[in-house]
Amino acid sequence: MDLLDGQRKLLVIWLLGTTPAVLIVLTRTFQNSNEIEKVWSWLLPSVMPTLSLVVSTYAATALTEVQQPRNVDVLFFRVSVALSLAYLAIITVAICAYPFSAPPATKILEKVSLVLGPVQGLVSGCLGVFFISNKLGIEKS
Amino acid sequence: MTNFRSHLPDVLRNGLVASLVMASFPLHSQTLGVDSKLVLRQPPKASTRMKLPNFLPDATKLGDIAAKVSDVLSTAGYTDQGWFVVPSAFSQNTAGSSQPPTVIGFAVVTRLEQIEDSGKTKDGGARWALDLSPPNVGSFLDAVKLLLKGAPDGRYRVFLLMVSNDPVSQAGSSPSTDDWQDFLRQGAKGPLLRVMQSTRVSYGTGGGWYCFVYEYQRSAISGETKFITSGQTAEQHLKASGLWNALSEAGKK
Repeated sequence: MDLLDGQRKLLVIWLLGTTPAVLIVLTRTFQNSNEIEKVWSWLLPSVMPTLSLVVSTYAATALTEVQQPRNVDVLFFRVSVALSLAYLAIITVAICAYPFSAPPATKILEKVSLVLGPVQGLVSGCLGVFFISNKLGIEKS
Repeated sequence: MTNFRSHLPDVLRNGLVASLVMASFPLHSQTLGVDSKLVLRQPPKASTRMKLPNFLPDATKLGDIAAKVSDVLSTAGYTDQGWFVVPSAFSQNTAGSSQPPTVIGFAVVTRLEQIEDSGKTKDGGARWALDLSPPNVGSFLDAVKLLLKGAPDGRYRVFLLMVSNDPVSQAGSSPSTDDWQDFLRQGAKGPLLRVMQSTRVSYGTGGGWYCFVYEYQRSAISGETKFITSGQTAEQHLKASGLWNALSEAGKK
């Protein structure tokens, strides 16, 4: 499949996937702001680096005329999508679920980070192929 | 000097001696005001406090008041009590001393309990559980509210009731929740009636019934507990816990 098409779909997945968690934490910030900054300090480093990469690289692509279309393996694209969805789902479920449990939120989010770490590594590897390699292609041209 | 001494009334002379004694034995201001077991000089700094009305105006002995207060507390669920005597301001530091202090009052502290935002005690086992308990989700709307607002912080409270013939002042600092557990263990499990029964009730200016409320908030996010200034008055706390009505009823019997 076309690399640019793959980038578009991943961009949409990441933008839509991070929105629920960010909106929920934002709502809680205005409702009960006691120590909510600890939740933000967990959420933002989990999503912003990858989201920044995806958005900035696609923005650069949008302003550049690509000389040659580039293809990427469909299976690889599907694996990238699945890993991105899994990663974003873990974050969203953690943010939604912590008020319903007994232990303090920071303890639950710490435990979720144990699972999130390995998934984040895989996601970064896949998105690196889609975005960083394309960025290098744009710089060379 | 001889003429001065012979003309000085006895009362004035005793007062001068008392002042000299006070100057050499300053009042204690420890965090918990406990200088020996079962003696409490000053209650710690409270979230809110008030001077209560005299719920037992017919009582003539401190022991009678203490017995009634103990019954009221037990009936209201505060079976775990810590009892202390309040010594006279003119008593020496009793730590290591073989002489018992002159008792002018008593203090009783309750166990740390979890409360609702209204000041009512939590139901069931959650009342005495110090860890954050999962929020009660009764309906879908409750779940949505919890999702958008987050879990509420835990609120905890300790009552310290004091009856003293003399005025009462607070210490400068407040204890942590762990300190209250130790403090409760230090006190006697019941009123020290043998000591208190010999003390007559004689409220001077500023003497009487006092209630000190210690309130703590535990963050639902970090789990950390901190001492807070209460958003409710001591009277509201006593009414919400049922103690105010129970004490009023005890006075009518």
